[in-house]
Formats: sequence, C-alpha cells, structure tokens
Amino acid sequence: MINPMELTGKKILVVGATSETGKVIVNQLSLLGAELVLIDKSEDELLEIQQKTSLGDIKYYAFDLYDNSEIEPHFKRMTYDCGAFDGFVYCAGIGGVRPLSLTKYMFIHEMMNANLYTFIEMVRCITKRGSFITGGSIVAISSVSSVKGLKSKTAYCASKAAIDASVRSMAAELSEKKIRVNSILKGWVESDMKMDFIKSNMELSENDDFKKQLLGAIEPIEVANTVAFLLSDCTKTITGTSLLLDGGYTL
Amino acid sequence: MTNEEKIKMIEDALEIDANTLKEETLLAEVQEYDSMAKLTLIVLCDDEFNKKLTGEQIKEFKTVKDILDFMG
Repeated sequence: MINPMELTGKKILVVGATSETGKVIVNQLSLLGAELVLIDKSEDELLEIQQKTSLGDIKYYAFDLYDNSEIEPHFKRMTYDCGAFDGFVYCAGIGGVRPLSLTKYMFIHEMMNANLYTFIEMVRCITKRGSFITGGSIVAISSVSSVKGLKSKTAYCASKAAIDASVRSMAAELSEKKIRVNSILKGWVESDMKMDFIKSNMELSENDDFKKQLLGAIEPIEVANTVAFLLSDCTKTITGTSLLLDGGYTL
Repeated sequence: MTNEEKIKMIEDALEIDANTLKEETLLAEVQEYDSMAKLTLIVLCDDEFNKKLTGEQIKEFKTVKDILDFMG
C-alpha cells in the first residue's frame, strides 16, 4: 500500500498553529510523518499542542506575528536552529465584519497587516537562500470571500483577494527556485461558527449566508488534508493556484 | 455622553434623519432598522463604548431606550 500524501522527512513550518483549524492541520501533518515547527503568539497554547501531539518531532516559537519588525530576526534564529524547510503553512490572520460606513483606515490596516503583510514578510524571510529547500511548497489559507462580494466584509474580502494575488506573483518569481505557492479558498468551516463576530453576523442574517454552502459545513480535517495534498509530492507542478474548498458556496 | 448625544450618534450611523428618534420610539417601526443597521450598532457599541453587543442581545431591543441603556 502507498500513501502519496506522506510527508515523512519533510520539515514544515505552521504559522497560526493555535487556531481551531491550525490545530487540526498540525495533528494531521504530524500523522502524515512531517517534522513540525509551529509559530503563534501564545507559548502556553503551543506547549499544549506540543504535548498533545505525540507523533513526531515538534518545535515551537512564540512571538507576536503581527509585529512586522520582529519577523526577520525570529526567522533567522529559527532557520539557524532548525535548518532549511520543505513546507510553510500560513493559517494565521484575522476576520471581522463591519459596514462600509465604519470601515475606516485603522480597521483596514489591521486586517491587511494580519492577513497579507505578515504572510508576505514571512514568505520573503523563509525563501531566502538556505532557508527553504528546492522543491518546497508554501500554502496560505484564504477564503471564498476572496471571490465573492459580501456585505460588511469589504476589508476582509480585499485582504483575502490580496493574498491570492500575492500567491500568483510569488509563485511566478519563486518558480526559479522550484518553490510552489498556493492558497486554499475555504468556505464555512464548523469551527468558524464558534467565533463571536461570525455568530452575531449569522444570527442577524438568519443563516442565509451559510445555506448557500450546498454541501454544509466543511470539517477542519478536510482543510488539513487539502493542505497536506498541496505540501506533498502529489502536486509537484501545482503552483499559483487558489483551490476552492467551499461545499458549492460559489456556484 | 447624554442620551441626546447618543441618539444623534445612532441617527448619524444608521443614516436616519436628525431628530427622528425618541427614547420611546419602537425599533420595529423604524424603516432603516434592518440587519445592516444592527451590525452597525454592534460595531458602534464596540468602538465608542467598548461594549460587546451580541446578535442575541440585539434581538431583545424593543425601543431606542434599550439601546441607550446598553450603551451605558
């Protein structure tokens, strides 16, 4: 029997590891044999994940992801400690709904910083010579909001569309190093429903938005498996793509 | 902030003509009070009063005074 999605021997960095989806991704990548390095803000939560994930080797670094001046020094230290990476998963970022009338500069700025600037800065740092292997793969978690027009989500939709645009450009530029870059446009995931701002929004829209997802909520494990698919050697020539994982939401 | 000031802020945020809302005004009778207006109120309470208003709580509001009381 073979498992084409096996990740044995691959060293993968997961940023945003303590989010609900992040935890499931970490667990699944670990089960597939990857050696993991996790980054997020809370050291306590990272330690808990390290202790719970009994399979394989897990290291972690805790720092403020959204302070862009901190990223380069942390990444230098990390690649010095760990060596070159085979994969990078970005599942950090923030959400937020706001009517256009209250979508002011700082709100947009914080959204762009967390969802786009941090991602690009991390890709910039990790793809420097000696930090990422030839043939490596980068995966960003984006959203169907990237391709849909949604009330009260101007900043969020713009930030996710910006991720996808950056993925295409970085894929073109990094093809010289044989590094692949892709994003996943995910729809409603079960765990999203626990988030306060989504709950309020859903109650107000009487779940109309959710009903558009014809196959129902996406299980986090499916996101994890799609990440693994894009990281694995199954997809050696898939690059610059934004893969829809949306239960038919955009149909 | 006085109740008059809060009402002015609500009228402005929800794009309702000035001096339309009174404390006793029933929200069900305000044409502009739709789901986007409710979302605007959630953001307004967070930004201006540092209070987290949930979708459940907002459903309990009957009059303008209920909003003012929540704003504190």
